[in-house]
Amino acid sequence: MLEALAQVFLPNNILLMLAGIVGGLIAGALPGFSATMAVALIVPFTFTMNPTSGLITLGAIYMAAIYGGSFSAILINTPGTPSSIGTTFDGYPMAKKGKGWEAIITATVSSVIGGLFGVLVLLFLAPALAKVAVRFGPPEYFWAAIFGLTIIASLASKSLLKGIIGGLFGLVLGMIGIDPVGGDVRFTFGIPQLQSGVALIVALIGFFCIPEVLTMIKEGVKAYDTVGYQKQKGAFLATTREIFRMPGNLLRSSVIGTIIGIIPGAGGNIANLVAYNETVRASKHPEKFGTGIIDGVVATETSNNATVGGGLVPLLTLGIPGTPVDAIIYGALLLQGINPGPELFTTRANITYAFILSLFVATILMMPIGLYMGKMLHGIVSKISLRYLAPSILFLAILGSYAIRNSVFDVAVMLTVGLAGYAVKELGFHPGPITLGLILGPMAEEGLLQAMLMGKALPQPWTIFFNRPFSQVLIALSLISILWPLITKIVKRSSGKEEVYEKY
Amino acid sequence: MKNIDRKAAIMMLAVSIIFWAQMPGLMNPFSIVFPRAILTLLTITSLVLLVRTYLRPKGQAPEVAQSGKAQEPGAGAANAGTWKNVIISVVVVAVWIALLDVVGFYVTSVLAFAFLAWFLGQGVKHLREAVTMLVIIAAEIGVFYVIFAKLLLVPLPTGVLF
Repeated sequence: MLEALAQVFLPNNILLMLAGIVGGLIAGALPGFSATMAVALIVPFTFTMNPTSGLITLGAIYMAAIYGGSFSAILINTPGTPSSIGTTFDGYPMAKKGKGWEAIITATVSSVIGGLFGVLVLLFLAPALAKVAVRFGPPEYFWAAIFGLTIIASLASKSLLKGIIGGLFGLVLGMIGIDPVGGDVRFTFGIPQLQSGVALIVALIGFFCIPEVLTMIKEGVKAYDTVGYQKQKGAFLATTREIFRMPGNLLRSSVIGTIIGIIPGAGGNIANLVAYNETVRASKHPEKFGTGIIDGVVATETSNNATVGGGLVPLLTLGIPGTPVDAIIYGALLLQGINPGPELFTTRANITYAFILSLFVATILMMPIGLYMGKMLHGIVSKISLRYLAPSILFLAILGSYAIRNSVFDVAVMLTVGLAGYAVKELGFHPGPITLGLILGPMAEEGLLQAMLMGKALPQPWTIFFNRPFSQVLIALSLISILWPLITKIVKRSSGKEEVYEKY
Repeated sequence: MKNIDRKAAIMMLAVSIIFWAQMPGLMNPFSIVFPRAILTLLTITSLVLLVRTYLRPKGQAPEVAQSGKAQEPGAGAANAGTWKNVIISVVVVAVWIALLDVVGFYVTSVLAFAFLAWFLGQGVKHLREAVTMLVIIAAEIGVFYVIFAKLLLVPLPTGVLF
């Protein structure tokens, strides 16, 4: 361990780490440039480095990119990476209220806490947790997706029915393209480019950027108050103190992020929404969420950075990538001639521990660098006038959606989805359920069909969904999640608190 | 709210119909199970929403309902001035995207950006302002162009120019 620590602090490695953090922050903050892409782009460059330095660089980029996504979520209401979708719900309203700087501080401190938590879990609990992850089969994935969809109940704050419809709309969009199991080409409307489906990031950029810009343009220069900036002395300490006043939120979101990271296939994109949901549910003032309170930002940003450590658990112990980025790190390990799996903790322990410890150090270093860059970006966005801001966002949206697959067609899809997003927003649909449907749809369908195939071996095929212990846990969680509003009502009524009735 | 809900329900019913219409082309039973379930649910929930708008007692503010017109960019007659801006901007962006491959990424982006900046800022007063604006825009797009095309080696569309 000490030897590994010494390696981390080699000047060369620290420099690479710093470069990785800056690069990751920029990539994360650019809409359309996800953590996955940032890491993927850098992998070829790490090939020439020694394995430890390469992994240190990738780890720093990964951690910083997940955090960097919060900048654009807060400042221009566009998640820089899918892991920051939930940060727009409260971060952007905070910025609009002139509390953008506080929102950035909140995102920074929370990301660091979440990141450290995930890494600590990775360091100490990796082997034990990995055993749970391999028990996840298709039925569990199906139920996990269903559990994820139950979040709609609290995301759709105003109308549950519209939330459900929005979620179904997202599921429908997610079905475009070749289906994952049967192989049929579905819902492409005769357009061959749609066979590969609507790329998630393209859809997200369209969904979050275009409606926002069009609203800006519609309301005009004067009506639209771009994120205001009220300089306050001691904002950092005051905000940090406020964050630490919610240890429950920090712990819950960290645990959620880590666990979702560990589950293969699910990453920060789901974790941040689940954590947001749970925080709303646990809160004494759920009606304030979405109006710009720091609780929401704490939840999403803590959880998404916690997925970094969590996602590495199955990768490093079993060779199963926990999140999409981990799949790329898997490739990077192979490129270096290292077989991800148990040997990483035995013959290659030095490299592995250096990697884990470097993540720890990188997370801490992220704080000063992130605050500095966040302040700079915030300054720019708060001073810029609509005539530059609106086209700038459009430009970034076009560039980002193009860069994903180098396809102009994707850019056209982005605009189409954006216009649809504008229409549904005006019709009172919340973007949360729709994006959730889009993310979880393919996972639910794949789990459902594969489990049905598995079930064919049983006398009663459908029992496969109910007779596995982890499935049962997930079913129970889904039921609790659906019935939660009812449960809280009953609990509160029986405890006889007057305040409850004010709300209903 | 009622008015918005009715439009929302009609829009989602339209989405269901469009997707239902594509279903007969599917052959593999495995490709049908999930879409059929989801589309059935979408159709039912949209119908419930639609019916509810007729059942519930009249209530909410009519002015909220007006913004429901936003469904199509062309539908905004009520608020002509601002809707005009939205429609023109959308058209400019569509042309911007269409010309990426034809003219080239950098040139198209600078021109489209400059047009939008001029248009949204309600014109320019002096030549000097116009020049400053162009320099800022060319530089901003230039920075990203260099980052993506040269550093990250993302092949941006070239077209006739660049």
